[in-house]
Amino acid sequence: MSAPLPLSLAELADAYAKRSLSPVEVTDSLLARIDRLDDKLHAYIAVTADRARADAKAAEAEFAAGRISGPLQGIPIGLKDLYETAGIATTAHSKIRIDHVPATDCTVAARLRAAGTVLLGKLATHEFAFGGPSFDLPWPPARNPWNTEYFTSGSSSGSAAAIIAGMAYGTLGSDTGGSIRGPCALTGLAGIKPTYGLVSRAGVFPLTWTLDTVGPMTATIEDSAIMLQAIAGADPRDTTCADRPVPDYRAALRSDLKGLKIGLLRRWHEKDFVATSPMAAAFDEAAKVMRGLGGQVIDLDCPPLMDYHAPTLLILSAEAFAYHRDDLATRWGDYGEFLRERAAMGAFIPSADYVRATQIRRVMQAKTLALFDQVDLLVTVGAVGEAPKIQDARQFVTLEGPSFTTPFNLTGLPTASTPCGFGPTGLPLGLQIAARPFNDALALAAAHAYERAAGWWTRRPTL
Amino acid sequence: MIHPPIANVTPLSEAAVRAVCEPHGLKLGPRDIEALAYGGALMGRMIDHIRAFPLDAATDPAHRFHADPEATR
Repeated sequence: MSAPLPLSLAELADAYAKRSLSPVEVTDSLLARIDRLDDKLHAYIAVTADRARADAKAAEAEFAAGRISGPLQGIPIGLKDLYETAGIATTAHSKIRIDHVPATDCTVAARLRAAGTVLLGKLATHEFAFGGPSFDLPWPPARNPWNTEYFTSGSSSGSAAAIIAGMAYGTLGSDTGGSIRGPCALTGLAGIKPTYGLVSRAGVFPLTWTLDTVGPMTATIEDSAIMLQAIAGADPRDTTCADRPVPDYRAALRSDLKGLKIGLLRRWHEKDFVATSPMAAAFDEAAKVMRGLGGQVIDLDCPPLMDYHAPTLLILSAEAFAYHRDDLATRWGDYGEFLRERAAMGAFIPSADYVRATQIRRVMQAKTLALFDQVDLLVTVGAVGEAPKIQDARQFVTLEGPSFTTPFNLTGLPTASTPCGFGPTGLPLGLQIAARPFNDALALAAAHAYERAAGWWTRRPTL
Repeated sequence: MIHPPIANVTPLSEAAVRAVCEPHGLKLGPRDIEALAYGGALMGRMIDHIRAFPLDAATDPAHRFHADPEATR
């Protein structure tokens, strides 16, 4: 195979359908690319080459027989190593679970397998989606493919690095406080944190039961729509998963924003946590693009960032501590410093304050839903600016200041992430687009229209 | 990796850190205590923020946690 591979999952699916590319050839090509690049990127903690080749052969046989089950047939993917995979170690990137080999797939892995995907391997994460970037774990942290001295953000670090480096066409991340959208912003990817309750978490290591979400990270929003379609919907194994119809996300994508009212939440990056000048300029430019697409774009007043961030951090820390407490007591030294000390923060939270944080969550959900009386979509920066150097990533960064991602975890809103430019260091900048609960289709549709008009998604690092 | 504090908080004392963590069986080393003294002070600031948040004490935290109450089964 001499021609370059397609950049997006949707393009690859089209090539398969036309039989101009074969899953076996593409899988072999990606395995070779992983072999060539991953020594310096550390996106994968385990490559499942035999499984990938078997999956690819099965997909190829289906195409040869004229059976096409859907756009994920033969698509090479990677799974963050929080996702249980039958017969394949699932470690949470931690010595604590280093020997854990599940008997069954988690729900979303089973759904992706049933859709005909090719599993390339398990991807690096911050330890239990919480402790990282860490250099004292059994595997090194993933590096930002744009510049390996820089951070990918986390916790879905390997998921991001694999996509932007062309070492997978789709990955799953998880997002409790921004772990899909942070890495998407700092590596220039598309993704969506779905509505809380849209996608099953059964068989996925928990970080915070009442905030955790599972979602796709991909090259384009269309690719995320395709992956979300496969994983969304009720699951009796996860009682938080809502039993309601799943719309056709790909069909709902649109090329304009006509008829939509879009609220810019400038307060957060202009007053509460001041973004870098390049980030602010990219945000303004994105607003212009949205106006050009026919959107009615307005500045919208909103609650302060800390009113979201503080309760989120209390809920997150308390629940994470509850999950890890027994292992922290008996295996303190087997955890990395970042995880064990972040998780121990939960011990500092009185029970009444944890409950108060959950009460505030209801208040903030109501206040945020009220914003949708004025607009259809909320738009914010995805991060304060470009990625920091990986060595400068701070232990208690989320306690030192707010983040732009936690409000949408606290409120449970569907929030798409899309690149909106590049900073002076040559690293990507990101944007968030949020919609009403269970209107994930609209968040994706608007992000897709913007992405296609802006065109940032086509840039790739030189590797 | 211990980073120098940047936030304007007074780190907790070693005794305060031990008093919180040791009842849970956490076996802290000196580096852990230094980090938790800073982190615990930062968490205290978060707690102060939510205690100052105006709230009706009878607010139901809604245990099913669905963003859209209509979706709750």
